[in-house]
Amino acid sequence: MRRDNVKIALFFIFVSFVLTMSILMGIFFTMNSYVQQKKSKIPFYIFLKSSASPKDVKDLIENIKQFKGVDRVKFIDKKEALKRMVKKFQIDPSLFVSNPFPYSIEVFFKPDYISEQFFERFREYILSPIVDSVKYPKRVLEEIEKVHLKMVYFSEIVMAVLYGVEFIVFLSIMTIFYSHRKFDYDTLKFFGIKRFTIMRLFLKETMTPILYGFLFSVVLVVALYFIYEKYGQLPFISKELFQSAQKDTFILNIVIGFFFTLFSSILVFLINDEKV
Amino acid sequence: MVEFINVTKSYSNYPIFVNLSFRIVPNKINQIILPQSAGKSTILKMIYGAEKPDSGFVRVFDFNVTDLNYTGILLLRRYLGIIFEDIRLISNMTVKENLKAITRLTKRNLFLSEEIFEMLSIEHLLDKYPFELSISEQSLVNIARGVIYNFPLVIADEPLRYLSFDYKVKVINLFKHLNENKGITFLIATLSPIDDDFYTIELNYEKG
Repeated sequence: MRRDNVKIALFFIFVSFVLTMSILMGIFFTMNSYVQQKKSKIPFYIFLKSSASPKDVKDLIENIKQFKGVDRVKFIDKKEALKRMVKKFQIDPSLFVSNPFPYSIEVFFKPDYISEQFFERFREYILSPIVDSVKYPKRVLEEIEKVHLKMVYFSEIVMAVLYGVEFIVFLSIMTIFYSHRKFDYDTLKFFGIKRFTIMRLFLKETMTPILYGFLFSVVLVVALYFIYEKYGQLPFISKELFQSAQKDTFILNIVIGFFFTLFSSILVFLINDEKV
Repeated sequence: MVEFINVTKSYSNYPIFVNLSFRIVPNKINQIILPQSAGKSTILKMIYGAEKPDSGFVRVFDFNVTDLNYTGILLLRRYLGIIFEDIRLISNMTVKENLKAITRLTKRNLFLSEEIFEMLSIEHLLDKYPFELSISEQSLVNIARGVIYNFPLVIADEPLRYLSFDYKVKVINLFKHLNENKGITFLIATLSPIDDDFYTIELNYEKG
């Protein structure tokens, strides 16, 4: 059979679409996860009154754990706090007549929940007679949130523009594909073959290179994974994080690629096909 | 079987025919003889509904083609054998697939007269793609596709155009064989008379 250049072009458009969008989306997701990880490391400190009994503290910790969005809770004993400070600043412990530290609790939240409003809501929730004061690094949180929001907007806009452009590319190649085959399709109509049957033929012809493109992409991605696993390493980002983001985006873009092909084929057929 | 009654047809306000009337003789091989660019293909296209007359009636198998909607036209075409002037083989199908496409795509269990392969000497071409064939071989396949299903009416637009003398004789004999043995009616548009046995249709029209 003669080599069909339009099918080859469609094959490469699909492969480049899947790989480009997956890699780009994977990078955005990885960056997002990285910032989320950083956010989740922001602690919320609860300082307790010196009158708080161990039972009160235990009840409070249990209560905190019930709050939606709490990832982990860490109780810091007075003695431990003193020991930590002495160690950190290399101070002579005999200088302290009494322990100046209160009991305290460090609370860490799941990344999706972290925002200033959420911290304020938690502050209200946590108010109890044994709580002396609460603190969290407000400015750090504000800064990270700002950067994160900007990053999310930027990546959403970039992805939306790229998907739009890619869809136009799919529409263009389908228009070329249809024009390339129009003479044959018109001939079939002269033999009384219905337009719906011809549309099915057209869809079959456009989906075949996509199927090959999908198989080729799988092989390529597996190879890239292997190479990255062995030799690749992005700074500050774990392999696991990067690879899990890549896997999800690859599957998503395969599905979007199939949808783009199907939708653009049907659209091009409906616009261009004539009753001859 | 096919009748034109006062058909007028023009392209870009330039009339090709005015009040064209004729009728073909059933169970005969009819030929329409017209010079180059005089409207031969237009007449045939009006029969299978690819062109619509500006006025008048085109009757095929008791249907007024001008009254048929697109579904009706597609249905009518399923009972016509068409031999195109520009060959029109499906480029990504083999010769065999081209010949079977009509029965496969219309989901009809039509009988294929495989004797035609032998009569036109195209058995060796069946697994080839159109681009692998010479223009005369493509033309033979085009003719085979038009007659292979034994439709009651075959319309042919300059079917002998690309053929050598030997093949022209073969095709004429095939047409005669199908007409005599299977009662197939032919309507052939041609530049010059093909065979003395063919019935030449007298066209009545006012020139544009």
